[in-house]
Amino acid sequence: MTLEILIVFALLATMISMGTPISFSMGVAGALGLWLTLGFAPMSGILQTTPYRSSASFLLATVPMFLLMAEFMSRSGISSGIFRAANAFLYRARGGLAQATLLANAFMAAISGSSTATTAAMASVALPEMRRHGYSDSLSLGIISVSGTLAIMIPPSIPLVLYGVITETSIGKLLIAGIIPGLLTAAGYAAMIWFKVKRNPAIAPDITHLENKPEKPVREVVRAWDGILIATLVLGGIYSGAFTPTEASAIGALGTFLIAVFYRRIGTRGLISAFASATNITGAIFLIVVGAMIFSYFLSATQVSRELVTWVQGLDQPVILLLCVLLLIYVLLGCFMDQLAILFLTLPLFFPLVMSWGMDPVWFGIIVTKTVEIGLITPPLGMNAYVAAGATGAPVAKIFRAIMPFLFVDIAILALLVAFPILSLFLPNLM
Amino acid sequence: MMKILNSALIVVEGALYVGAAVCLALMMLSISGDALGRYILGTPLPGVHELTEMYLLAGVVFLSIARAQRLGNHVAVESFEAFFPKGLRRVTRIVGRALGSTLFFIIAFKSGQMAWNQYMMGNMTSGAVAFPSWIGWFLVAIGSAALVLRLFLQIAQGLVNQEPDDTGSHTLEESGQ
Repeated sequence: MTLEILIVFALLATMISMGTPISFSMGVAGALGLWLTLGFAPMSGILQTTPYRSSASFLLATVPMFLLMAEFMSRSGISSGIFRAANAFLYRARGGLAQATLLANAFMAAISGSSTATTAAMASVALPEMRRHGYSDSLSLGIISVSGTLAIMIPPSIPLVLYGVITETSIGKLLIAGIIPGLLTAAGYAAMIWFKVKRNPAIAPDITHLENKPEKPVREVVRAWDGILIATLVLGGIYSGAFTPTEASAIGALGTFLIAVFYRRIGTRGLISAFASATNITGAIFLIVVGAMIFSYFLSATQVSRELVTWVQGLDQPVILLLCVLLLIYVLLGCFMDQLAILFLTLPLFFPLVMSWGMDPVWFGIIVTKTVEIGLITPPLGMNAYVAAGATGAPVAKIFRAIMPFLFVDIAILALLVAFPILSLFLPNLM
Repeated sequence: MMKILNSALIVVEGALYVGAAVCLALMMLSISGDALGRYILGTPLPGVHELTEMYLLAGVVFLSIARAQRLGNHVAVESFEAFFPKGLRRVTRIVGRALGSTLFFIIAFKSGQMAWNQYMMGNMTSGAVAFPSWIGWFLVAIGSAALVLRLFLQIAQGLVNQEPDDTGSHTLEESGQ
C-alpha cells in the first residue's frame, strides 16, 4: 500500500510541477491511485459518478453567484461612488486618499467575493486620484494591492464558501465569522498607512488646502446608495437569517445586474463579458472540485489522512507548535500555488488532523482563509500584485516592494487570530 | 487541416459556452425568484433546488471547461515550468494533456453511458416537479467530450509544433479570488 501511495503523490507533484492544471493533476493521480488500490471497475465507477455528483450541490451555486455579482459590480461603476463617499469622510486624515481607498475596498469587499475583481475595480479609480495629488507609488500601489485582499475575508468570501463545502462546516457561520478578522485587517492596514505617512509625510501630501474638495459626506453617501443597498441585502439577508448564503448571493447578483442595466452603466458587451468571465472562472474552480473529490476517494481508500493523524499524534508535540508548522506550510504554499488549489489539495489531509486536536472548524477556516489572503500578496505569485500591475502599468517588483510593510501587518493579524479564537468565533456564537 | 479542426472546435465550444451562460443567468433568476417569492408572495418557486443541482450547475461547469482550456483558464502552477527549456516545456505539456484527456475520456464515456441508461429507463426525480434524470449526466458527457477533443487538438498541435506560444498559460486571476 505504501508504494502505491508514494507513486500517486510523486505523480501528483510531478504533474503540478510540469504546469498541468491542478484539476487534471489531482484527478489523474487520484484515479491512478484508485486503480492501483481498488482495481479498474471501482475506479471507473467513481469516475462515472463523481464529476456530476460533486458539482450537483445547491450550496455550490453560491460560488458562481458571488462571482457574477463581482463581475457586474466591477463593470458598473459602483466602486467609483463608494470611493468618492469614503474620500469625503477621510480626505482630511493623514494619508487621507490612501485611507479612503482602504475604506472603499473594505466596503467593496462586503459586496464582492472576488479579491481580483475588487483590486482591479479600485485600482482604476483610486490610483489616478492618488497620483494626481502627488502620493508616492510606494504607498498607493501597496494599499491598492493589499486592500483588495479584504474581499477574501469579509463576506461574501468564495474561499470560505469552498472551505465550508469541503469540510461540511456551516457556511453561514463561516461568512459571519470573517467580519471581525476582515475589519481587524483593515484597521491594521490603516494603522500602517498612518505610521508610514507620519514617518515620511512627503509620500502623502496634504490635500485639504486644495480648491477642488470632495462634497459633503452625507451627499456622497447618498450617491453611493447602490453599493450600500447591495451590501445591506447580502449581509443583512445572511445575518438576519432571511436568506441562505446561496439565496443572498443570487439576490446580490440580480441586484447588481438590475442596477447596472436599469441605470445604463453597462452595455451589451459588458454584460457578455461579465457572463463570460464568471462562467470561465466557475468552470475552472469546479473542475478543481471534481479533481479534488476523485483524489479524496483515493485518500479515503488508503486511509492516508488517518495514518497522518496517528503519525502526528505519535510525535507528542504541543498542538500550538504543530499548528504553527501547518500555517507555515500554508503560507509557503501560498507563495507558489493558487490559493483555492491549496485548499482543495490540503484540506482532505489536514482537516481531520486539525479536528483531532479539538480545534473549532470555523476558527480553523478563518485561519486558513487568512493564509489564503496572505498568499495573494506574497512574491513570486501574489496574484493581487499582478492585477494591480495590469490595472496601473506599474512594474510587479515595485508593487511587491510597496506591499512588504502591509505583509507584516497581515502576519501580525494571523498571529492574533491564532492566539485569540474569540476574534473569529464571537459573531458566529451569537447566531 | 489543423486550422479547420480548430475553427470547428471553436464553434462547438462557443455554442456550449452560450449554453453555460444561459444556465448561469437562469440560476440567478430562479434562485432569486424562489427566495423573493417566498417572502413577497408567500410561495417559493417549486423545483428550484432540483433544477439548480441537477441541470444548471452541471451546465455552467461542464459546458464551459473546453473553452476554458482553449483560453488557458484552468488553474495551474507555472512557477517551475517557466524554468524549463522550450523543448522540455512542450513535452511536459503534451504528457500532461495526454493524461488529462485519458481521464476526461473515461469521464465522458461513463457519464454518457449513465445518461443513456437513465434515458432508456425513463427515470425522473420524485420531488414537487418531476425532472428527467438523464439531462445532467448528458451535460457532463458532452462538456467532457468537448474538453477531450480540445486536448487532442492541443496535443496534435504540440506534436507538429504548431501550438500558439503559451496557450497553456493559466492565470491565477481567473480563479476568482
